[in-house]
Amino acid sequence: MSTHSETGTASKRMLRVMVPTALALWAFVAMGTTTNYSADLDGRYGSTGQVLLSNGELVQVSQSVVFRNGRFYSMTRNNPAIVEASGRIETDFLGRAQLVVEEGEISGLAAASELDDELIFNLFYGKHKGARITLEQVGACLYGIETQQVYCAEHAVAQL
Amino acid sequence: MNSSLSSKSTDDVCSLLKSGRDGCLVRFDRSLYQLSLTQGDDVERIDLGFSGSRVLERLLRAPGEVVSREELLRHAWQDRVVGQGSLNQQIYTLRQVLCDSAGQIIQTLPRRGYLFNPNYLVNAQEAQTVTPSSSIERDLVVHTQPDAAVTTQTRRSPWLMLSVLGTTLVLLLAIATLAYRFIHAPTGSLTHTQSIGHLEVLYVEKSQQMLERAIQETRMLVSSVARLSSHPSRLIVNMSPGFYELRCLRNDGRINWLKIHRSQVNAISNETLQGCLR
Repeated sequence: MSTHSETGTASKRMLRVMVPTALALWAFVAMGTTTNYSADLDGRYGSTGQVLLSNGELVQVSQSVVFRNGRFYSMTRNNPAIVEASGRIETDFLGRAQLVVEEGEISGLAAASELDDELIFNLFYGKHKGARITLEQVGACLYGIETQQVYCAEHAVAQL
Repeated sequence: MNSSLSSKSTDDVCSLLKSGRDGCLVRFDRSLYQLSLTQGDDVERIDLGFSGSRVLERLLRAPGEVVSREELLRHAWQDRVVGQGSLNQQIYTLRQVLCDSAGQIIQTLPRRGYLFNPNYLVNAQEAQTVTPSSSIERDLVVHTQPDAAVTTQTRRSPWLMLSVLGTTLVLLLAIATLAYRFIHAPTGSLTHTQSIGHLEVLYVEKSQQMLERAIQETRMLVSSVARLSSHPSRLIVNMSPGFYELRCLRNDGRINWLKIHRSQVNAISNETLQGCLR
């Protein structure tokens, strides 16, 4: 009796199970890496706040972002500096929403600015092409992990 | 002629048969457990499975001779214990495939067994008449050393093994990707909730050490905010490079936030804190 022939039949049976399983698994993986969250995120978000600098000065900061059709447009006013950026929304390998900066510009930032280095770093980070800002849900708002920015939807209801 | 009829038979089992349908030839490929039904240019392949193939093989080994049910069971299922119904089912299936509804090709001899009607074997002359292709003749080669032939020649299907190998790799890759995602999934932040008067404070940090540090270093700050809270309020506290962040949750769902440089954490004015609570 040919054992090879038995293997052939067993292989066909295995393929019948393995191929759909592999396809299903990859579909599952792809859902986490290519899902476009723009439909969920679409809308206008923003927040205002204050920063107490190391020199005791209190600075007003406002942050706004619009998500639309998988793209974002943001503006951060950190007196006297203004950063505007735009780009696309992606999901990272772990399935989290990310803003990928494609264009960014900073204006009004004087060399003699009193802003602390950490704040200036965040401003520059958010304008660089290719920079990624991971969004995390905080209550009913979104928190940009890398730039420490808070964006709340205008219709949001806070939940702890 | 179709390529399905081009492989050689490898033992004493005649591999070319007639079916109950006019002009329909059947080639038995026992290495693939398969019957190929050829009518004109149309070829239909039917998988018999291991047991069905073995039943037919045993019957074809002695066409015209009665093969007992016990012998067929032993040959097709070897050491496995199966009921008589399994053999009945295989015989039924073979008859269906061979268009043998009248039981003329595989004949039943009550209480004795089954036999394959030799009139349904195709000889060389008939094969040439039906299909002049030389390939069909090769199917009619009959060997006289059954056991040796059975064990030495088998048809390999490399595409099948490649498919299995490729699918296995794809499957393993998918599992590895999922495992990577699972292992590197964002771990939830550590939190600590504290109520001081009207104020409910939620501390959020990545590690226990940072959480304890945040609680300790902002104790005075949080107490000040609590004293200023005249109605129930909620506050989120966390650290960021160089700063402490306070987020005061408003009733309309929005957040007032305040970043305080660490050097100023105990020097902040009440007016500024009230701005966050507003």
